[in-house]
Amino acid sequence: MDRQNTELFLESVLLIGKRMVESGAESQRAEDTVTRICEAYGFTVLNAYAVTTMVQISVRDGAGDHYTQSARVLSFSTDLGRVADLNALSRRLCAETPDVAELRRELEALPPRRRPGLWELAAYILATAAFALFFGGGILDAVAAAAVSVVVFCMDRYLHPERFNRFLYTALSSFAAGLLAVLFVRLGFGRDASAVMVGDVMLFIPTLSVVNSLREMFSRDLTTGLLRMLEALLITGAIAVGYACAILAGGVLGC
Amino acid sequence: MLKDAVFQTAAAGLGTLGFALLFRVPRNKLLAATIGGILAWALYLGVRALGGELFLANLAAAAAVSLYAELMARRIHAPVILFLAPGIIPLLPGGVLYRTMLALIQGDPAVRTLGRETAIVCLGIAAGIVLVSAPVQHLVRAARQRKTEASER
Repeated sequence: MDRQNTELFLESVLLIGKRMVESGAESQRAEDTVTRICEAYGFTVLNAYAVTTMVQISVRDGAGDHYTQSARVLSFSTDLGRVADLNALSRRLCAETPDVAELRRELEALPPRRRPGLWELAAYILATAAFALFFGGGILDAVAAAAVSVVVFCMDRYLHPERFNRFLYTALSSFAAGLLAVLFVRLGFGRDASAVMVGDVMLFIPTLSVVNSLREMFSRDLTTGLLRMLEALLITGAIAVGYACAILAGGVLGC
Repeated sequence: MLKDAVFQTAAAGLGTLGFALLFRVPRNKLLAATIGGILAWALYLGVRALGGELFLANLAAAAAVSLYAELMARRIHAPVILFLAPGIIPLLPGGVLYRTMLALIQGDPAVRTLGRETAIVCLGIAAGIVLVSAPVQHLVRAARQRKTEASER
């Protein structure tokens, strides 16, 4: 590979790593993936480093030249299907090592990130209704929780949450969900306001961050693990603030 | 009693399926992800019914889901997180967390017991995940190192 191709190759590999981190993969998985691809192409990997906000890689080629590139990770949106796709792509790349032009084509052929659609709407309804029942609510509570989740879905689809600060957005949508739950129950749509709210609160809890954070912290990725844990704690705080304000506002409105 | 347990476990399964969809787990892996959540809640209820402490029940259930996720990931060549994140959802202390918050803003003294309960559940889940993940990741790394060393020789 000449210099230009090598640079282009590294850029593509970093893009794979960046997409993985963006979609919710652990940093170690992103590091492993970029390392394996580079090694399959005959490079010696000197360093591969991924945190929630950045991916970086340094390699040496057969002639002894060194290359380093990094990519900033700005957005985050859970899409484990994408992680699985990228994982499958990297396995294929390692096995077949196609040339750089083909690699770029394969990358571009990956489906783009979708906005929440009908499948996600079904997911919101199913998840919130099931958890309202799970936490001791009745059928009516489950329906109310699902109705609230439809509003949250519309916010997630049409307000472009990726453009907002994630903590403010979480506080705002928790507030909206909490207030709606209080109003619904007040109007007789739902019996138990707490079952409705708890069903919906599950939507906001940063499960993926917590799970990844734990796995990372205890496999020596302390930096990423701590970043993620802090993020999860802040988000949980934002949820609590949103719901607390909703309950207080409900009290003021006489609900 | 048993009827309630079965109903709640079924609800946990549906909720897990909902979250698996939300996390965009590929369709052909949805069933495997859902089974993780059912397993977690059934085991949690089982340990509780046998008189296990809150901490122990959460630890056992989280460890079981982690082990299940590691096994499934190797069996069908998919990242562990696909099965672990949805499966852990039913264990999350959404209910107590909510009641803790409510007690906090209402100045209810029950906030201390509730807060303690939330912390115990969180610690139990964390310990369960780490108990399985840490040794597995260690073994995987060690195996890979041996492989590279062998190829360099």
